[in-house]
Amino acid sequence: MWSMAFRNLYRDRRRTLATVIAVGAGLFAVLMFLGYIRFVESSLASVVIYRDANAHVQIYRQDGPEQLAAAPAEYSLNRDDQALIHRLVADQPRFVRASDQLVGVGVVQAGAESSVFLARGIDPAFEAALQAESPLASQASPLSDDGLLLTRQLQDLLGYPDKGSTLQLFSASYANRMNAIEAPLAGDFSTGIEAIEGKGLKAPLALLQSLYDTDVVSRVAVQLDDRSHAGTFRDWLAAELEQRAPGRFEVTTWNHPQIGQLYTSFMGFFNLVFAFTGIVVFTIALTTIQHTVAMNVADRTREIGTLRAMGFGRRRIAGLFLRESVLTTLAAAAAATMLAYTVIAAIAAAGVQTQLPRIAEPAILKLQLPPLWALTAIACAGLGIALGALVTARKRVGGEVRPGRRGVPLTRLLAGAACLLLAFGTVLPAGASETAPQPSAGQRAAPDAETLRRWLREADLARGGWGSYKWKLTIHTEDPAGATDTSYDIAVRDGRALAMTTAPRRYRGEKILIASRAMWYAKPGLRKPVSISPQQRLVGEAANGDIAATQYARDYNPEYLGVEELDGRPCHKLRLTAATDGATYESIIYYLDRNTRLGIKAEFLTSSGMTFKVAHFEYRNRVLVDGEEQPFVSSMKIVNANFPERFSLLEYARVSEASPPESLFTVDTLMTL
Amino acid sequence: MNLVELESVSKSYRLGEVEVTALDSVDFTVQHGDFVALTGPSGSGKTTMLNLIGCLDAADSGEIRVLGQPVSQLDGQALDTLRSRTYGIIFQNFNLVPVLTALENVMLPLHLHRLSKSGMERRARAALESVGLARFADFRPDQLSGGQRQRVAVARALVTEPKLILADEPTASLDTASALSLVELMKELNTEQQVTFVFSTHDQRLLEHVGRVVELRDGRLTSTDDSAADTSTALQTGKSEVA
Repeated sequence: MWSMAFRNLYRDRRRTLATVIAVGAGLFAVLMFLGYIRFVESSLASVVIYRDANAHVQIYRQDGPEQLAAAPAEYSLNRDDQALIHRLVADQPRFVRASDQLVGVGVVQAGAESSVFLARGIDPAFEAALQAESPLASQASPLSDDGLLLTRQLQDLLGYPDKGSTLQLFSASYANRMNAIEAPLAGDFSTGIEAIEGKGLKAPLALLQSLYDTDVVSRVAVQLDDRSHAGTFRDWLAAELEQRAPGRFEVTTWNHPQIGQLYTSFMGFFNLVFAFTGIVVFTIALTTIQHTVAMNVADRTREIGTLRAMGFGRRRIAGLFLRESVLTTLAAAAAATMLAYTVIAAIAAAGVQTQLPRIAEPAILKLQLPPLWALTAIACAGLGIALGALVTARKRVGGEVRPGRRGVPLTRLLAGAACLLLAFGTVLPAGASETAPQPSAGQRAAPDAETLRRWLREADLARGGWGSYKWKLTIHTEDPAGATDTSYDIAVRDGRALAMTTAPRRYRGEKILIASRAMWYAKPGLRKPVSISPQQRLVGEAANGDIAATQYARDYNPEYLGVEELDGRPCHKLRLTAATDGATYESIIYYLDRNTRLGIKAEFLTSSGMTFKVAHFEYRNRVLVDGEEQPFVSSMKIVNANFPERFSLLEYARVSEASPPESLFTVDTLMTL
Repeated sequence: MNLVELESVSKSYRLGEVEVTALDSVDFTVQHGDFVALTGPSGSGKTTMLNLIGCLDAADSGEIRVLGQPVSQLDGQALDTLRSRTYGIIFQNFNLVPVLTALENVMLPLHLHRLSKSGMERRARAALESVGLARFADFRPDQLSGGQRQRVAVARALVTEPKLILADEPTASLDTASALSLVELMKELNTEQQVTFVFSTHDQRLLEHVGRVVELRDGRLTSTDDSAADTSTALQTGKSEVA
């Protein structure tokens, strides 16, 4: 029967050739696309594993992948954790190397330019080993023991500082303290991810740890001999760690959504596209084959009748047409496969470059079509086509085809879904508009702007915003990572302030200067003060801008919102909107005691209007102003609006009038104080 | 036991709005060793009757029994088996598979019998030899004359050693010499190997050589002529006429 099928195909060779070309073109497209998908998959995996130095397996504290950015200190691995992990993995047969890594954010400055960075602290030797084994050609500079690597985009934002020039990194330490370090620019690298290419910074682990003033790490990355073992290794390691420290660790692999976000998101997308393309091509190929079978059956009714008369059953005769379809598909598959490998070889020889999705650098296009993958794809397509041909053949050779239950056509389903969506789309906004808050009516007559500004100035005065004073400030900060206490000597003069750290001992000598709406940070070891932008002042639970007194009357425009009671005290409620770029916050809801005009509560808002911090003030101190005793702030408690367990308590003591010299408030003398 | 029995068999077809009666309450039997010709004008129901005898079609009413078994009780698969074991069929236009050689065409029905390839080939060659085409075994149909093709078709019908060979106008596409030669062959098989033949024809030249002629007109049997008992004499006459 195979011989007969082959001869029938040969007899109708024009039709056979047309069918082979149509099906072969479809299969060729599938194979080429499969090769491209494999290339993208492999490249993205290499970016995640090697270029991003994630290696194959990563060990975090439990929930670390999700929570590290919000609470780095709480979700980091301490020295004991690190030692345990290194001890466990080192003896495993698949183990190649492991390294501690630290991630963090901050601001990098080069001269007058500054920009936000996303840094990764890596052991330079580990980094070098990974890069050496990366299948992707890397143009990155090697990471040295003391230099920084910045992406070209970040260097551009910093005005292209010279190689070797000193950069300043500024950030909050893991104890929520301000800190800065200096290091030379050693070269450039690419994060491999377009979205963060403008923020990429790579630093030696020890250097980054010194910036965050910690010996913890964010994770331990483990390189294995092959990525196919990552899942097994993760399972084993997770079980071992769980046995030793239940609930403390989380083990991930390179393709974890939080680690290989680029990989998982794009492969999900590509697989969807591939499935869609595959279905379209398969449908075309199947339809072509079915059409050919139908034509063959129509042309050979006499032959079919003869065979039926001889006693050949419907199944056997359909089998003949099935054999013809299988042969046609095989011929198409063979032609498509040969053509695909030829084209792949030609592309490889030509060294064509392509841009991978969200990858900053171009990559050499190397389509990857392992024979097993090609065979599987061809076999799946061939099997589907054969089944389709069999159904058509059996139907066409006169078999009874019982009508099935009528299904709902896809178009009707889609139309129904679209109608539902439209209906929801119409109903929801209408419903939403019904529940939208209505503007309040009947507000009291608002005080004029001059009065409001006067109230603000009086309130500022009680917080040291004006005049010349000195006091001792103690900040007690608590968050899930622990509690810290820091003390400062504060001196203010006409709206300018200098804060000098007095305790703990190791932080002595650190200074923060606020002058003319600008802010600087200095500490022993830095060559020059670090300029702090308004946004950077928000660093820490108690923002740097909160350490010294603030002048709301100068920096914000007030708007009267009415009277509201707080703990039984009637208060004027004001909305303060930043009037200058030097303001620390975008806007503040400020409550002034209606009787004393002292600020007793402030809600600090994000640009989107969400409250992110709330401050409460108390005024138990007293100072003399023009010979008259006035209340002065004694404590300020700042609570994180989203995480109430995170707060800072600022206590003001030994407040007195003073006459600090003018030279105390100039940046030129800050390093010499 | 009768080989085939038709009892009050009727069959009609619908052509558009008109219902055409092809067979109307026909009673008919075929016995082992018969050599029967169905005759009558075009549209008289000859082909319909052959189709019903060969279980290629189902009767609207009446009963058809093959070897005593009512065919209406058989399912599709049993009918396929019955056809492959009981019948050999010869068509007016030979209906050889064009891509197969004469030998392969003859081997074709043997695929339904559990035989080795060599066994099939041996039997097919014997069948070809019996119709005098042994040396044309490797010829494809388009390389054979009309008479040769029909002989291949006869060999194909014979190769499974069926109990009954049905032939629908087997000589219609042949010249007189080939037609008489074919009838001679069929008669020879009938007398020497006791192969039963039922065939339709309206060729008067052939009717002179058959033992039993059944005439159909408007779907009814109008006569059954069993008088030509000495078929061999008739055949000799036919042969002499051809000569």
